[in-house]
Amino acid sequence: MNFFETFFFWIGVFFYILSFILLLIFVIFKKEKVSPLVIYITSAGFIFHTCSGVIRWIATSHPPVLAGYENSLAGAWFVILIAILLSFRYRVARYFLLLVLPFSLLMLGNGLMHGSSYESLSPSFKSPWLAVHVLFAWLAYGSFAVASGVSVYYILIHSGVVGNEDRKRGLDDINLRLIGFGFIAHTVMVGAGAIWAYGLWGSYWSWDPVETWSLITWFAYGLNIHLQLTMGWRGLRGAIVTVLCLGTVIITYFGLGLIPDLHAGLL
Amino acid sequence: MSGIIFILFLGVILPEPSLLTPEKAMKLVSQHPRIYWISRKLSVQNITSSWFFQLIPMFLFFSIFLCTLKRIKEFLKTKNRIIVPGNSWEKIVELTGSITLKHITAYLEKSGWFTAVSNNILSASKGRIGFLGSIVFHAGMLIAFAGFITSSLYGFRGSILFVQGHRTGLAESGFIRILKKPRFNPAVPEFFLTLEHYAATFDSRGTPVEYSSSFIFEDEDLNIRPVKIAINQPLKYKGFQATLQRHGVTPYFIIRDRERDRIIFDADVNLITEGDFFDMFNVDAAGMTVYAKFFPEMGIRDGTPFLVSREWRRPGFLLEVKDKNNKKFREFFYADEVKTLGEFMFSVKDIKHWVEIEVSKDSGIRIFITGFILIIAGLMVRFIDYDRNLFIKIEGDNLLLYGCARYFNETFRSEIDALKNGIRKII
Repeated sequence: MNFFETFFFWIGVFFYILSFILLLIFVIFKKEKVSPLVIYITSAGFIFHTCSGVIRWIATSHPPVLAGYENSLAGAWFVILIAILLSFRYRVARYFLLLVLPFSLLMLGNGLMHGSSYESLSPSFKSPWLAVHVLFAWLAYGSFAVASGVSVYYILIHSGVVGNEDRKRGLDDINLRLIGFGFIAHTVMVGAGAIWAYGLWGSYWSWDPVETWSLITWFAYGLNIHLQLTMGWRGLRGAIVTVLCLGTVIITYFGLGLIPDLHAGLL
Repeated sequence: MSGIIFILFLGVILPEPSLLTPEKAMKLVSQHPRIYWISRKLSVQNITSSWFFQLIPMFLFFSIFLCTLKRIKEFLKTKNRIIVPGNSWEKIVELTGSITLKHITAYLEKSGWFTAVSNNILSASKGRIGFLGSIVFHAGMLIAFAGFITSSLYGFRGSILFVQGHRTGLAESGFIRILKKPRFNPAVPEFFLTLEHYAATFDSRGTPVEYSSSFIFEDEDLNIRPVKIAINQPLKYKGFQATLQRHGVTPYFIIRDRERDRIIFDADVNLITEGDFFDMFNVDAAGMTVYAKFFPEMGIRDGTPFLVSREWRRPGFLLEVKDKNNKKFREFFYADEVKTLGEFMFSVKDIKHWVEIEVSKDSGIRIFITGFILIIAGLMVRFIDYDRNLFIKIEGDNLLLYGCARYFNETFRSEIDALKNGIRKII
């Protein structure tokens, strides 16, 4: 990390923390006035976060796709981007940051622990499928994370911790849309990964831990959609299932690099 | 689905023995033999190839198949699908002119609604294309399954080891490992490869940026041409592809018995050169085991060898020798030196590269990807065109409406508002 990247990174983190504190004030002390501020402060943090990522991209000459810090930087960026876009579309969406912000901060912290030194792309990453695979992975995991934020907010309203029952209106729709979008993105990610793997390893599916976890995630969210659409598990039950499903994403994401797998490197 | 998730979960939380580096695998065997044993038994590779696991996707396959048939039947049965409606009529407008349900029907049909009138209630529905999307999604799942099955029946995967300068044919006997054999397809086409050169390129930080191998390729008709096989750049021939998987070094070791003054070993040894791993070979004539570690550029600091860089500048070896009396010797030497270890003198005549190439054919991948494309397309259509119903009736001077959607009720509420405005305009 160079000076400017570090500087923008920490300013971004500062704004995210500030935003999260304001959200906590809203939840604990029921101060409704603070909520509009949250989205502007998060957006400011996001701008600095973006600057940090762009500087890294220029310095390394490749998009931030490597496991560890770069994955976290880009992953958190996508999660927050989706949350901000939703916040401008739906007023209620700013409260999803209650889960999205700590989740993103944890992602960034986890990335920093892996070390943030510049590295070249290894030969196995030099494939046109990398961009498709990684972009859709981020979109999928970002959507799933924000959907969990929606669900946590729903559960908080339901249990009377925040807001009133009126605020629940439409949350179901947002949750299902995010999961649907994430599921489609996840499917594209798995398909692109399979094509890439075939040219790289000679097999489109090798049952390595990351592949298996992404399949578990795919099945878990497939089950979630099935429960919501076919079995009518909307509302509280749908929200609980969505929060539980995030566990598979967390293991796929944070587990990456902890277990020996083909994704860790080829030669 | 829950069964698959549960079983995969069991396997994936344990270390996968086949994916461990030789060094880590040996460490696990020696330090935690029980964990290694459980990992082997419950490894995902093991579980997924077992009959009981393959039975679960079969159930899922039949479930999806029946579900698809049910949906097709439902799709063909009626154009105006009525989902279970709620019943909260709301007034759109007070009628002032001679408006009838016929006018409203014409307006709704113009907007893409399927309509029907029964008992003076106009029912209209949308979401038929979305429902078709659901069928496409399920069909996509079935096709993706078919891709997996095709892969297991017709797929081929095997590895061949090429030592620099050696010409190797792709006859079955040439494979060091065959991971998948086709059950119905003929064997691999005959072609020969000779490894000419192998190169690994590193950046200033020592990170590899390219691995590539140059081969001379001879096909069945003895046409000869140079080919390059690099990471992400496989060689493709008659539906088969050859991908570069691993590499190592092949030193030609000469070991001389000092006492008897005779050579007891002179041969190429293919060494795995991963990290700190010591690969081993046996010298049967002396009952000796040699553990060897290769340094592409060896440096010596405080009497200990270390890796200066991964570029081949001044290669060297660190050897550990265990003789027939279990006596151990440890020594390091540059490739151009002769070194004495106990009763033996070690030297290296030359060092070549070896590469492992995986030859594979997968007829299932295209079917699998087609299935995935259908899954994505079906899902998108399903989410865009969701099931929704409108019910309209005239009661006295009032035009009443109620609407319901299977999901996305809030989105449908905005659509209903737009429709109300449209109906008000025609009135």
